[in-house]
Amino acid sequence: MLWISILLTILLGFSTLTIISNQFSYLEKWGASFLVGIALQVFGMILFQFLGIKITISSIYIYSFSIIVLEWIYFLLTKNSFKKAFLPYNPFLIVNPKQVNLPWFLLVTLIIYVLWAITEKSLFWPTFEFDAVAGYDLVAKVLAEEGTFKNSLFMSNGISMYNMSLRAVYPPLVSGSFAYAYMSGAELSKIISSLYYISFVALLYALLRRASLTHLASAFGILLVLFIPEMTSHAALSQTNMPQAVYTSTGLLSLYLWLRNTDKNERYLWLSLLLLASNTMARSENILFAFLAGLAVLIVTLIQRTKKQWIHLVIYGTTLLIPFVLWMLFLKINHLKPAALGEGLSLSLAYDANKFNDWWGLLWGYKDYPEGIVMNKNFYALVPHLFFITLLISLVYALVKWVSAKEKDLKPIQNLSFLLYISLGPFILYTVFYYFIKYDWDSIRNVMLFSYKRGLFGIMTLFVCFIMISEPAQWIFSQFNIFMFGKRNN
Amino acid sequence: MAKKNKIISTPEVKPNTNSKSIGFFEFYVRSFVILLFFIVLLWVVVFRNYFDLAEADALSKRMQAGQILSPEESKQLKDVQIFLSSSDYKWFYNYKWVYHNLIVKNLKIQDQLDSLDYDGRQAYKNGHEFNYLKMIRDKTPENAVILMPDQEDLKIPEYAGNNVPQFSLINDKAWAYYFLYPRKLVYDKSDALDSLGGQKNIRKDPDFKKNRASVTHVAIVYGNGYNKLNYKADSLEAYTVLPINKK
Repeated sequence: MLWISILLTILLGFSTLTIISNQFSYLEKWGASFLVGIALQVFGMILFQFLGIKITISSIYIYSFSIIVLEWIYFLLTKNSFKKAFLPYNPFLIVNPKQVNLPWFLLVTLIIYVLWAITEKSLFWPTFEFDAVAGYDLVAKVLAEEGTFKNSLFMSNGISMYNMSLRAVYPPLVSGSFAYAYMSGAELSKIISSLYYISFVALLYALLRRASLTHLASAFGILLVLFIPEMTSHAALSQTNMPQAVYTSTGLLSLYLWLRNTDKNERYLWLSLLLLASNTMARSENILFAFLAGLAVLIVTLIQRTKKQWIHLVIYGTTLLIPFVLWMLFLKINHLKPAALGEGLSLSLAYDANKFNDWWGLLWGYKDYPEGIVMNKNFYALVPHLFFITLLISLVYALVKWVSAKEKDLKPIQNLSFLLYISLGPFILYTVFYYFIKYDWDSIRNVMLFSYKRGLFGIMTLFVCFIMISEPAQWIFSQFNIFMFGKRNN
Repeated sequence: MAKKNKIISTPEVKPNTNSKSIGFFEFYVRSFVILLFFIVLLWVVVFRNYFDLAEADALSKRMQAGQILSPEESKQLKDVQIFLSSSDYKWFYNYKWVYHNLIVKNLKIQDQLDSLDYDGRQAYKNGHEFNYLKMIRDKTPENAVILMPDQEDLKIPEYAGNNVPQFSLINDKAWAYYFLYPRKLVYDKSDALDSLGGQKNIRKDPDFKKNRASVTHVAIVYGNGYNKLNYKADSLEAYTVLPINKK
């Protein structure tokens, strides 16, 4: 039963991606299928709440199956090619089978080994960490049994059970997906965490390839991500931070691919929409990343000012917000609140010198916490260091190239700006957001050292994308390929 | 090759530059050179020179406590001290930690605990607090309403000494509910009082009276809780769960 459920989820995601475009590659499709499918199913769960339908495995099956049928009817009506739907572009086809890329083989072997070990770990241990036990996995268990988000975890006054804090009212992607596993007869929900992670690695590899990276560079980038210590230790846990990182990074990377060529790469606009809208169902603050993406689409629309782009903007903006708004509406209508001191997550825009010192000190280090969070090698290894070095080199390189060029070419500058927008942009926005949080429910130290630190997983992944897509890294990996193959490709 | 190219939609890789043909043998020699570069890189950054700092810390504490270390242990400690002052530690330790600790060590632990079922693995992680809840789970029906120990019931009695387990998590309602669901849990003080620890009690349950009246079982910790039974128990166990009314 569990395997049928997972297959249905993948089929739902695959069908949706096929409708969007028949130009996605194998890896893009298989990487994104589970991520898109499970998010659509959890979105269905929210819809069921409004329609008064009990959330059961049957209702989710019927809902998923109906969407799949409708999508394939649409596919037939638009006379799309079955061959392209089922035999999409294979990024490995351009590889000459007589020339086995040995270093790539080594890196991929290590990637597979790490993925296998993380999956083994995830499936071996039951859910044990506090936040999942008194949070996401508990919501999942109760939801699977009672068929509604308004369940025995809330008292009759609408306040959640102690000690769930904000976790009871978190947007439901993670708990909903875990509940789907329980409804399908699983003893543990951990298989879902593994599927998030495996899908993430496949999709990230595929997207890095689309961003002009060679196979070797893409594999190296994936290894840099897999060896981010704090993120990898979370990959086998049942928390929201890893799925948040998965959707944030792949969603914004897709947006980058669209920004690079808005005409040819329209499919990545819709892929980013699906991933970032799903992301707003993983954690409340992910609305920030959706805002960043929406702003980029707005700026492009204002520059292009075509009718088609205005329509895209409206579809993008509204769809991006629907899941989050519906969830907030559901909580409001049912008067569901967290068991927390104060009002839960709210903002304070006032300047507070002490708060600023704490915030800044926790970010970059001060006497009580000399290492700081951002550049802490225990958390993110060398990724932030490499990012800032690469950023500096890229800026100097772009400047020198611009000044020395006889014919000014805006493209490299544009590309660098887009890359900065999807890496440094979310970092600044997310970090500033943590300054403005009203800390009347927990201390700034606790929230920064736990939530913020983990919230940077997605941003660190985007830092890796920046490093690998930047000119210096591209040049280095081009030299490897030219040395081996006599050309840059592969 | 031409046939294959037909299904390639938009492979966005940069066009070939400096393209020149490389022979089969030459390709593998060159590929091997790059392979060697990555092997050395991985060896230096990830595989080489890993020390479990927690183990070294334990050794150091033993030495400070006046215990005599074996020659191997002394050498290990010395090696660790040299390693800690190296740039290898400063820059690459976290990569080594991911591989050696997070992956290899975890796989070894999993191998050792492979015979445990999920309850056993949960007990390995959450210890006696989970075992206590498991005992309640095994002894009560799914429709039970259980009166759980309050914070003050979890204070270790003076007569108990230092060898008794300390509880705290079972007082976190949601944490305990996870393991006991679908049983209902009631806490006499924390579900009923207006304030806890000088602050507004955010866990106060408006339906406390109704829930309290429907209690079917009482959980006992350190022998606390027998006074909540509606009868005198035949034997006094330190950790158990009993029906609130005599059958």
